[in-house]
Amino acid sequence: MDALDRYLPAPDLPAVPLVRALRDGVPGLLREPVPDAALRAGLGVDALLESDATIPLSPLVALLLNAEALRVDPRTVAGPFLAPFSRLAFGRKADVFELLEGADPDLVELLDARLPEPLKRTASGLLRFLGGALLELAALGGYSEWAVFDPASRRLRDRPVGWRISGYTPAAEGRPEFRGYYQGRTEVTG
Amino acid sequence: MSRDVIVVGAGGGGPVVAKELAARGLDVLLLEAGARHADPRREWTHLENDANNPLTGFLRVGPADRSKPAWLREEPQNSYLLQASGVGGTTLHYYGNSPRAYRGVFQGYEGPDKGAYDSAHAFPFTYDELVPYYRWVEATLPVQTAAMGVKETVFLSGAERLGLPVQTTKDTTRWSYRPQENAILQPGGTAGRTGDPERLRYPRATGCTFCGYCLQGCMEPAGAPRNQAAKRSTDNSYVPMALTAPAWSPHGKAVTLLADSYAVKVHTARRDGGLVATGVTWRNGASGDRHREDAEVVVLAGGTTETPRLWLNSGLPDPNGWVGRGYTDHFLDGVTGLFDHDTGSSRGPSSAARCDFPGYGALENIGLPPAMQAFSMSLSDSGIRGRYRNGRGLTGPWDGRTGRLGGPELKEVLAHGIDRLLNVLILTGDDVEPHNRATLSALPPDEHGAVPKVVFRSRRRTRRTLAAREFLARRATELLRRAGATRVYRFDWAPLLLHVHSSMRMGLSADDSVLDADAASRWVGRLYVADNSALANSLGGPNPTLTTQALATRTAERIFVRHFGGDPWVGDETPVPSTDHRVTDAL
Ligand SMILES: Cc1cc2nc3c(=O)[nH]c(=O)nc-3n(C[C@H](O)[C@H](O)[C@H](O)COP(=O)(O)OP(=O)(O)OC[C@H]3O[C@@H](n4cnc5c(N)ncnc54)[C@H](O)[C@@H]3O)c2cc1C
Repeated sequence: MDALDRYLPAPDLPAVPLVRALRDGVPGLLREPVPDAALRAGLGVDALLESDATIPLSPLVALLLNAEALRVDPRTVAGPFLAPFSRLAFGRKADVFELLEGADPDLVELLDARLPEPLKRTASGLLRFLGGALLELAALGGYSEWAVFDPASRRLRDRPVGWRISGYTPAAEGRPEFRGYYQGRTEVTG
Repeated sequence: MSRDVIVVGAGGGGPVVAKELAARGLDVLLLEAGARHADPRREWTHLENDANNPLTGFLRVGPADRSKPAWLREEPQNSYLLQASGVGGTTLHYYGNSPRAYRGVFQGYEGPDKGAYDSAHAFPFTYDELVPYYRWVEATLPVQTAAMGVKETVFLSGAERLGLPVQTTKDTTRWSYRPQENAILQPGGTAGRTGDPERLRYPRATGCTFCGYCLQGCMEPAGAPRNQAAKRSTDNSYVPMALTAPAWSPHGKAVTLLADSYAVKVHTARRDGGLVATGVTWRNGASGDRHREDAEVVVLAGGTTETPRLWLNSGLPDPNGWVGRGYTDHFLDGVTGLFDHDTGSSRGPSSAARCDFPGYGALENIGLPPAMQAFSMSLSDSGIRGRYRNGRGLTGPWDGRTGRLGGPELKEVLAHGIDRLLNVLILTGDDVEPHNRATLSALPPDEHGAVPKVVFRSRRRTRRTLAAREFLARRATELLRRAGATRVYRFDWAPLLLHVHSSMRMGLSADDSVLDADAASRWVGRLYVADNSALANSLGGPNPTLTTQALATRTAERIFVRHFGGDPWVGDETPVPSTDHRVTDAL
């Protein structure tokens, strides 16, 4: 989740109404009932609403992911790992993204009802954008150097995992890669 | 303070107008919202996250101070705006591919395939009218035939087997393939012949060193003067010329360049019964101070998303509702083949070979470093392959259905080897459609006013656009298989907005265009547009920047003749290349 704050453009959303909407509305959208206290703890909403600071984007996104995780499998409300979304296996995580990209009509209705004008009717666009961006930016971040980059020296502490996986060899300033000109032609006119 | 001309935006288009008019002796102020990037060797690295992180990267869309937040643009759908602010604009990212547009998108085209183009939104003049301006820009940048690396030999071997002829001209008149014409200096000396950094310093090495970092901004070879850097992004070409105009032009006057200076309002006044532009107010990013200057002529070049935003935030007229509309994007798609041998995909300039299919669009090879490679295979409107289809999941000659690679499959494909795959980028000749647009967001405004919102209804594009994209995806798959790919993936990208055009389009009809045939505003005198947004359409698929720069040259000439009593010069004079030693010496 930490990576999100580094990657997602953070619109100054009216976060409190969204958090309240999820707290109050998600129980009605689940396949099986979940005790209220467990749900609030699972989503972490109380902590968010208590804090005075403006709610940054990543907890909001986490909240949406966790709400959808509960929709996919209400039993993720408790268990090992930190939160409902992280308790899902890869295949069920994909189900969460299917709902987001959908864009999950039940959740859209719930959020749009609570968003103030002029932001009403923006929930589906937001879910669709997040459904795509979370996956794209996780890939971009995950296969880049950020985890091993030392900002002070602007050097790498280690070889990035993504380079190791993909067999990537960086260049210092260039490479002996020149293979001539196609059919020997170095210029064209007309 | 009063200037002859104020140009807003130092990306692909703005510096062209600034340089041309500075060469004529006009007093030009060039405003750029983002960073100056005066010393890349100190400010940049070759690293992907450091450069391209959309929030904190040195090539993001945001203020010069990287500790301050990036600028928000709302995208109410799955799409991704890939742009950069700072001197050079999005050409800091670009690959330098500089093809001319297809003839079929211009007025007066009568070829047998006429019906294959968006002729309802044609350019309001003929292709031949633009050719002298193409020549001028090609000589200035300069544009040269691309050298090959390993990945080009693989791509071209597939293209040869498609049964197409090889193109040996700059004009594209039929289906064909060829090495790119690139705004990248050909390798000289040790460049391309060694990986040893000690031997790759300028002037032992000149031109492209094949480092493979086009996307992260070009500062090769090490030690080269700014105007000798390999990739001719405008920070390396037109901006150095604009700043040194007195050194290489007999009447030249140096342009005043202000970075970290965000134009927030275009001022107008009523004169002789009409509305005319009179100046610009901008905000300095470091101090927050606002400044205003007047000018005889104002030229907007903030790009396809930001120019309509500035227009609307300034309260300028929009009587036909076309400001921001008709946004085109080549409806890009990615097709990737896996090979059992070295393809060199991560090495060398990002793209140096292409196929053109006038009437449909174009294909080109794209080599990427690992993070962008992973990104490109994670972008889709078809869900996660094998998991869900998001209402799509297209089938065809590629393997399986379209879709993004999910975590485990992404890892498996990348573990096959970044240099054992080859990407083909699909550039669709997409139609101008009013519902695809840049407008103002209802989200809270930032310090520059209401933020832009870019709306794409991708699944409701015209039948011709959709058919062209499918045609190209099939040709791309065939090319990869004929080049020896053992597996081919098609991703069905969600809109990746990096070739963006025509949101302030010039047009034949006053009903559906903002600009007239001179790129002048139809409703405000002394106001012009000189970025990609001025293009009438998506050019039929070819990469846009060369055409924007040719058009901006023509616009500069029109401004000089109409408002400053000068004579035209393109066609009569010989252009000075941006690599000229007088520019180097004066820097
Ligand atoms: C990865 C990538 C590869 C590409 N490769 C190619 C290629 O090979 N060939 C090709 O033809 N094209 C390519 N492109 C597209 C190319 O970059 C654009 O066509 C070109 O940069 C567009 O020029 P522009 O002037 O319209 O906008 P930009 O280059 O985006 O410049 C606009 C500038 O204006 C500034 N600005 C905006 N608003 C304001 C304001 N209000 N006040 C002050 N300044 C403002 C911005 O900060 C920016 O610097 C590529 C793009 C990407 C992302």
